[in-house]
Amino acid sequence: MKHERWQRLNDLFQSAIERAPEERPAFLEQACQGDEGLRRAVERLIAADKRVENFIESPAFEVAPELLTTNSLDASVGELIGHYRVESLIGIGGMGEVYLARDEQLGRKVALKFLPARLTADETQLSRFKSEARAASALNHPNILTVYEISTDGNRQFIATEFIEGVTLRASLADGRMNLRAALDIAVQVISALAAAHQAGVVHRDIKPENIMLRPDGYVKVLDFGIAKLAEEGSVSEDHELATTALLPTRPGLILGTVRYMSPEQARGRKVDARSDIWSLGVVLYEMVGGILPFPGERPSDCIASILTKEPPPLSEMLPDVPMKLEAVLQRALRKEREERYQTTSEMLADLRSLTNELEGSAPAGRSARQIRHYKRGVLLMLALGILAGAVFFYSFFFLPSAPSPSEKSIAVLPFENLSEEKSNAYFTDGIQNEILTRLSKIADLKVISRTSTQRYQHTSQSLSEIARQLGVANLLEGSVQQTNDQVRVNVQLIRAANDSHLWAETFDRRLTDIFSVESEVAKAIADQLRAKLTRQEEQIITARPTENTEAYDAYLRGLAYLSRTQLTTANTLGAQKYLREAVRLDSKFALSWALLSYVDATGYITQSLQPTLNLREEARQAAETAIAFQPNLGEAVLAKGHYHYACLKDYDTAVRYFEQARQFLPNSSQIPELLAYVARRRGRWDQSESYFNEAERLDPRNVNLLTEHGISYTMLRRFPEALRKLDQVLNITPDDLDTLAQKAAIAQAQGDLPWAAALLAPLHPNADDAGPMEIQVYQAILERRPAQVIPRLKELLIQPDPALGFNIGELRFWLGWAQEVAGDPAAARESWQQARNELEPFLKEQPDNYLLIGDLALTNMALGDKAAALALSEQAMTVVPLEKDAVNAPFAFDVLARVSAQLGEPDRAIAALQKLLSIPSEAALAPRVPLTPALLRLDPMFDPLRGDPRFRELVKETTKPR
Amino acid sequence: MSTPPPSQQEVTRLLADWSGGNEDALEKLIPVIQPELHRLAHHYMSRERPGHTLQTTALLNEAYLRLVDNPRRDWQNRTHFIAAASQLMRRIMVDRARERRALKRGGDAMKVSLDEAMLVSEERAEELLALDEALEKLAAQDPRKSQIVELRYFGGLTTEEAAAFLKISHRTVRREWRMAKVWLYCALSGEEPDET
Repeated sequence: MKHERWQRLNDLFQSAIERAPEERPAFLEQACQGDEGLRRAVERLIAADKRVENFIESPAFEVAPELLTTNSLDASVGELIGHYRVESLIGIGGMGEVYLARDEQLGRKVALKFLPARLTADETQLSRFKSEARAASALNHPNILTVYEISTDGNRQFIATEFIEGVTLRASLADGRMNLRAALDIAVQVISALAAAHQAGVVHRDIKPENIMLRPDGYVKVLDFGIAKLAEEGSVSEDHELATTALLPTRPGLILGTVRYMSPEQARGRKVDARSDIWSLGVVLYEMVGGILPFPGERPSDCIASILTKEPPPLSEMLPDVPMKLEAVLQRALRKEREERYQTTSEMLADLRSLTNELEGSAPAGRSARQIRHYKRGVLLMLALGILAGAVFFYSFFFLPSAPSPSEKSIAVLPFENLSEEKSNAYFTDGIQNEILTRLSKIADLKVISRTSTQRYQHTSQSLSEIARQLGVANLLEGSVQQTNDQVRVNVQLIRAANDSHLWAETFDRRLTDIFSVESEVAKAIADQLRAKLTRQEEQIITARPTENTEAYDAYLRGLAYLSRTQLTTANTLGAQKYLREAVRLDSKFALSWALLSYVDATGYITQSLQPTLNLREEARQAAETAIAFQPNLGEAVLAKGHYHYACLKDYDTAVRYFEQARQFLPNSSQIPELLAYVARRRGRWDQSESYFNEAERLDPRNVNLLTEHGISYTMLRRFPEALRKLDQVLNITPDDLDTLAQKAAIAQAQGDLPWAAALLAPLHPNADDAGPMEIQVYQAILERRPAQVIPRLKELLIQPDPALGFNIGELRFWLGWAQEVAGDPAAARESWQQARNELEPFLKEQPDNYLLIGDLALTNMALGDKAAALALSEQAMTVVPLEKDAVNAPFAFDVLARVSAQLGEPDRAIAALQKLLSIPSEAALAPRVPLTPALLRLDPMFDPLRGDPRFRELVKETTKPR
Repeated sequence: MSTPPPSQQEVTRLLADWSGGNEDALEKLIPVIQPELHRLAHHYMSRERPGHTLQTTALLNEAYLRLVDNPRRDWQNRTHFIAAASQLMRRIMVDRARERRALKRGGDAMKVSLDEAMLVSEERAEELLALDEALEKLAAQDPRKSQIVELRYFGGLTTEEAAAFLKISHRTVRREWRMAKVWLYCALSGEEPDET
């Protein structure tokens, strides 16, 4: 614009603005003399003048101080931090910077949050924060953000968490008050997160809309457990004066943002407990429902005064649609005296639930939490929002119609119905379902729930929406298969769970030989329907034919069917092995079947559900290598190779390398994080292992083996309440499961609670091949020193034992001997032990690495008084499973050494071994799944010879403590 | 007080040079003033209490007292210092914001936030960059308006202080400020403020 013209625009604007609004049009009409462009420009400026108000009135530093105070960023794009590759900056705030990064080991997205150095300087506070954050995350609660790792890189402290796509409740509230039901739904989810955390002793301390994320699928996630504590205590240490005043983060915007949700006790700087979180949630609920704050104030000090002295205006007076009952809930949550508030989250939850139930069917449809829209920074300036954060300027969102969000691309493939006349064709129906599922799970853009979780819905009357909720998916695939001679009819329906509507349905009539085309067509159609993006490689993979040989495929499906049974017992493993061998015999190039065979073998080897012979190990190796040779890019083959290295060779580095490679091909595999959890556990990296377990459970929330193993980890760590929770989760899925109930009894034993253990064990009737539950039952009788009752049962089982039980027969015989000894019949005991030794010894030749066998032999020799042999075998067990190589099995060897030493007059060695054992995670107290605890030492008769020793008395005095 | 440290004398001299029209002098002031601003800002933030707000004027005043030789001698010196500092504030903050935007590239498509305050902060950085750009355009059209915005928005000067520094009337500053604000507001909201 020319200078003169700019000057004229300037003058006209100034003159016009000084006139009364009604005079302006005439003035401009005359002044512009027909220059329409000029007039429009002046009018635009005048119109804007009404809206500028606070615009740039507050100096930049006061609005965005972080742009001056931060020296430079914590990380840069492409930088490797730990094993995370930084991809972009998500945001910056008073509590540090957050980046989107990729976990290079696992190939998953994570959020990396750096903690400001000023808050992490104090080691004690840091470790307290860590333990709180971990404790909350360890709950693996669906409404609590998962923390993968808290770690350091150089001098930078960071937290790696689950990466969530969604919006914060704050952003959502920018749209104004919410529909009542949506608000209640969010409140219920937040409070269930809080309930779990409070139960674990963790108080959030900073519940506010900024810390509540809404995912597009309706899930609510509570963020940042424990962080508030860090800030609070960090300030205390810096300045003791502050202890009596409110302790607050340091940015002005944040100050107000945080103050608004503070409880009165927090505002006074007093100690807070769970009831403070209840208050804060009350404020959030009030704001969601009413669209206004209960305790407003333009400055933090006004706000605090309001919190301490004023009663919030009753919402129902302003908003007729707010029920009185909700008003009552709010009033009770917002009582200034915490003794008058809801005392626990469960009380508040109960009221909210009953309110929700009353609303069912009555509330009008409106903005719902399940339809969270995507907000996008707009061009529209909404200065009215200025109050939001003091002098925030041009802060606004306006929303665009939503695109299908990634979590809408989630699916569970439910078990298909077998409509064939021949009911024994179930394996075929399951096989088709499995193939479709497997193909879908190879598409990285989809979230596909593992078969181990979906299989539980075979016979269920639960509604589809309930199933979808349990599995955390938006879509379900149902289907049926009818096979007659060589014809197959496959019917499938893709259903959107939210409204139970069909997205797509199709019936395929094909010849049996053409079954693969149906599987790939269905997978392709679903990917299209869910708008998943497929790479060229993925396109190829989902249309691949695993074999051309229908007979081989049939055998493969039969083998697979054994693997989908609840527990991998010896019988199931043998069944699977048999058919998979048959499949590769019929088609020697059937890579998928080779891979699965290797997997079955190696699993049998490490879990000892098969006899861990050198031949078995060799078959596992060959099968994996053959699979890779035929199909180097088959994810299952790469996985099998890694699994062989882990399970058979304990070569962890190589195993992890293969698992990482396999992850590219199997993006939805829960097996990979599951195996990584096992590897980390063997290496004694318990925290890491736990985060892998959590990851696997997200993809496979109802996999009982996975949950059981996770429970075993907690048991070993002697974190018994968490262990019991996991086991209860298993029992929810498979009620009356023998192994799980026995495992609970083992925990009761470890805690010294024999009556409870007895009550759990009473209804169980294990057989010889249920070695674990059987031994826990015998151990119970021995701990009670009333072994007579179990002797007849043991004898009965040992009359004609199944040879497939292998060395377990000798092991059971050892237990029989021990029971007889404690029952006061040494002659019978000696006879049993001699026979046990004879039964055990021959196995040593083909199972030289079997630490259980070696341990059994050490104990049997001990019982027979052969000190030299017993000690030598104990040493041998220690070298087969050294602690640094195998943190899971090594404790067993220590346990054997302690027992042998105690019984054979070597108290020093026994005490040393016990001291070590109590200081590490273990599940080693002879009977499987029972961790050694001081309580157990007090009860176990095998340690009787040590009871006079003062060092032993010291050991048993200690309370059981997790490491 | 004994002999002031050389840096103080140096700062005083550079400020005089700069107000005398030597732009290079400002460049030489950057390494002296920038760390001091950073340090003070940090200090201010860490002792922030509820009910108190950050004050740009106080911050710059303190920087001035620490950096400049015999501050009381010449009040005009202070205004020069603050005028220089407001330019530096703008530069530092814009650079920081730009750094952030560069880092954020690629992740922009996702609206993700772990903490809404961070998102707000992110918005602020973006908006600051937008404002900086618009301010450049305004400077091309009307340098004085742009300078007034710089003094007020980055240096925290009042109308009166800005008027003193620019040696113009308060009234003119107020008029210019109003027009500048409206024009920038339109530019940032995507409405073309000028003729189309």
